[in-house]
Amino acid sequence: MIDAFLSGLGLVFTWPTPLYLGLGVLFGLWLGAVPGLGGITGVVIILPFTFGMDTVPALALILGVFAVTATSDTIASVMLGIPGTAASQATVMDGYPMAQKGQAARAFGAAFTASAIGGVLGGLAMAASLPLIRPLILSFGTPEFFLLGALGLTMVATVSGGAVSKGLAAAAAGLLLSQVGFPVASEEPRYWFEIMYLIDGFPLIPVVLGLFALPEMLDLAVRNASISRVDRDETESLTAGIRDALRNWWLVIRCSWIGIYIGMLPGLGGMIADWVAYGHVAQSKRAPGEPEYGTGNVRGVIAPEAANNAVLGGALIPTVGLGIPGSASMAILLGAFTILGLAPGRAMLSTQLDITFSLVWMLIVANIFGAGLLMIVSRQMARLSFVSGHLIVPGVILFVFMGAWLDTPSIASWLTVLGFGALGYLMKRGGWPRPALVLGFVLGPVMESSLVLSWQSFSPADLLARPLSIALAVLLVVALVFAIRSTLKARDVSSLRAASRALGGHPASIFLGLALSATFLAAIAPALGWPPSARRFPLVIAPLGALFAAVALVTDLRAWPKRPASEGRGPDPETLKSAGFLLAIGAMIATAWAFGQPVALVGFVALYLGLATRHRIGWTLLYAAGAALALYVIYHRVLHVRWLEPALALWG
Amino acid sequence: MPRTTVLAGLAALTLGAPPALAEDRYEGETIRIVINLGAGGSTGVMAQLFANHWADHIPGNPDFIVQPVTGGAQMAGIIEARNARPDGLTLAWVSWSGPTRAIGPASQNVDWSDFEVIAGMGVPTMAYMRNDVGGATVTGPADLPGLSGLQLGGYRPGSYLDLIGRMSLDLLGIEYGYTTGFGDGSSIVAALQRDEVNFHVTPAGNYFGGIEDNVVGAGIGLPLWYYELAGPDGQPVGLEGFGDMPSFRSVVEDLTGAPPEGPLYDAIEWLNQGMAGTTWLIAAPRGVDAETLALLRESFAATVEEPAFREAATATAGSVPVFTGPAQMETMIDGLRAVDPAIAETVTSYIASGTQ
Repeated sequence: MIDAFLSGLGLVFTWPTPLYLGLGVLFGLWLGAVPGLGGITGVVIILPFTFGMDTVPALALILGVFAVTATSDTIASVMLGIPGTAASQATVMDGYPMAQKGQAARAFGAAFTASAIGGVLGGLAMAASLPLIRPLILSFGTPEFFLLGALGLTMVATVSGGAVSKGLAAAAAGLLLSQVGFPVASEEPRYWFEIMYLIDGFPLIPVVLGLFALPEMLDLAVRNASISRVDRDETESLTAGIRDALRNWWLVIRCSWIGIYIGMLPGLGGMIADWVAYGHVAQSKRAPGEPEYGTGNVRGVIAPEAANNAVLGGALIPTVGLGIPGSASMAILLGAFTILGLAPGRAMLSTQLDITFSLVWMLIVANIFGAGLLMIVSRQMARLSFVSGHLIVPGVILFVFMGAWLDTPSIASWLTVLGFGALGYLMKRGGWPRPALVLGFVLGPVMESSLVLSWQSFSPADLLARPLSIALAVLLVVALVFAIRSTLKARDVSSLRAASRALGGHPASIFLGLALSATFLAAIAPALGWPPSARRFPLVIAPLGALFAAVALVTDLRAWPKRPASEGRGPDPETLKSAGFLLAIGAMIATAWAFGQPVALVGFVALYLGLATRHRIGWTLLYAAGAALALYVIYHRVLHVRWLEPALALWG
Repeated sequence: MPRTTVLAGLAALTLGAPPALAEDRYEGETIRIVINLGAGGSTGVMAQLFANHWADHIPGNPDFIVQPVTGGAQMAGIIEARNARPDGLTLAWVSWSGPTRAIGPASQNVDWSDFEVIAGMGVPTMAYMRNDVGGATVTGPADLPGLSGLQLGGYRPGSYLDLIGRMSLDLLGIEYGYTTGFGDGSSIVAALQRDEVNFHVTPAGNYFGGIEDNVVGAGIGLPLWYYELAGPDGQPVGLEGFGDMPSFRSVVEDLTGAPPEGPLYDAIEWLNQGMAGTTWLIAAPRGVDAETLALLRESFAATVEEPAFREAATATAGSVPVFTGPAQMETMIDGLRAVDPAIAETVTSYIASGTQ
């Protein structure tokens, strides 16, 4: 075993493997930094290049990409409030508020350090667990997956910032949204309105980009200010962040372990690990003077970042050891393994053990190298938070919409971004927690499929004979009690904050309460005619969601007379500007449909800078030319995007 | 002589040499192969593997890009390829599910005449199970009758693998439970390793590509049978890799004393031939010029015969996919327009009863 471990190290440092590992890391850092891309996109691109390559350099190229996307995805989460990949959603919670406080560099220092340590621990865990692989993974069955999902849902209170009824209603809305498309064990799609785009359900990337990216860009555009709302403070530096991460070493280790274990379990992955880690830290005791979670607490950045980098090491364990890929990215990696002549499973644990250990070393080296590179450039990146928001908005809009297109190439994806953008804007103004909706949306499929499968395979007596199920059920009850208690305790402190957040958007909050109540009620009738496994989940979610939305609505209505009279009755200028921004995005989508995406996106960039913000013509043309170049080089030449056929060109 | 050699030879004779005009047609070009499933699965892997070798047989050595277009219950990729310009630069390599689409809801129906068929490629289907069920040790198909606690793990009620598995066990008169909704093969294998299910019907490529090593090799399972595929002359094809594993037909004969027959077996045969025999349809959008189509068909057939491709396919998937020429594919597509009502009734009733 030790021989193979050292032999694996030798393989990693045998030329040209270091070169390919380095190239993979650079490519992976870029993919993680651009919202909507990510490791899967990268590996799909590089996979054809690995044919004909020697096995170890090819693996280095692929693993280099996968290893660091969870490190660089922090950049968009912190700087823009947009998850760089699905695995960095929770980082937004405290990372973006830190950038708004002028502490972006500190957030980067903490995040990159935690990421590097998490990644290294993930690799070491993979090495250590190879002999124990089978019992470790096989002890966790479908009933336990359901309980783990339910445990995840208890974090709703944590991410709701005091607005618990809104949080519960938002989580129920996320769960209900996850019900769109084919159910687990029947053949009739649900809530799809005969729209082919919806037959497999809403795709995650356009939903998340819409919910988070558009409202933040809208905010920057309307406020006409920089991301940071305070002046530059050089004391909040990168090294302060590194010290934060090292001082919280025990938290880093705990959250890395969460990432490793969740990565190991098929079907979960980074996007759940980062929420579980965030929930873990947010439920822990805060030191005196430490900011509340959700307002820029550095520990809220450290926890998810350690977890999401550790996930890969955990996810490789069943992929390599049992030939079971736990996620889409692992499925691609498994395909690459077989093409490269490796046999995941027993062979990779015996005759190909040195190659398996080389994967461990690649993970370790790539994580350290990737984090180091990002630290070198992080000071410059952090300075972007003091740049005028108007310069950031058009570029980010381009990447956001192209990211959604790359994930699901349909004009419906752009409409999804816009629709969820409008919803996200209303939620933000009305004090409704967006993370709660995402949490429900992500956990819904995991919970429903494990419930349906458990229902078919297990009797109640079987479940009572499973110690792990009982332990998780006890943990669930404890978590529920803890969540209720901490919600009641925090209510006095947080109600002021939640109310102040909601006040400006009070009409938005009431509108959401009404709309969600109606949606939940409308969702009940069609479900009554579905087969039992297809209707069970919606018929639990919809009435509960209606109840929570009604409670939120009543609370808002009772607070209605408390609005200051000075606010007036008509829409405020900010609302009008926001509506104008969303209309402009709608016009961009219509232009894309008529004349193609390059015209629409470059046109949006030019018009935004030239007309809306009145930048100088030379600067506007230069920016627009840069946007056109990015579309051509990145999306057309490198990513081979299939562009939308313009409707008007077809007529001509 | 292997069956595929004969088919490829016939295809070459029928199509003749590529016309001179087509010879430099692909110089400096990139061919986009649209797949309707994710990049890492067997569809993506086989399309990529094939593309690497296909380029060598096309004058001008074009580049190939395999592009996953997923969603819409696998319809998005089919629609994408169908609507592409018929310039020979966009091709479909799609998991076609022709038979189940033919009898399924209208939204899932595809008019395959919108495509010019280049070939069909298929992967035989087989069954395996755990060797410890309900306290009994299973050593072969003969132990199945009377076994209690058999639990079939399935993808979804309408999956042909679920349907073939359920119909096979019913035909043999074996009692079983049914857990479906796993969605993909890896989840079923994981559930089988956890002993939540113990019987699984899978494409043979997946079995030889990992299950054999990790389930049978680990001492917890055994292969049961494979489902024979018939060539145009009715003779079995695609037998490589199965060794002394019995065919389902022979298992039925051994256990019941008579060859399989009746509506249930007809439905199994229909599903097996149409779904496993043609796992993937390779086609160009309708309207591609005849010279380009001929070039693509001939080069495809030649690639199937290339030793380097066959070696790579065997190393990756355990066996070389079964090749079906364009003429036979078009006959099969014609057959989908008039499915035997008895077969359609059997299949739809199984889907309905399997819905949980």
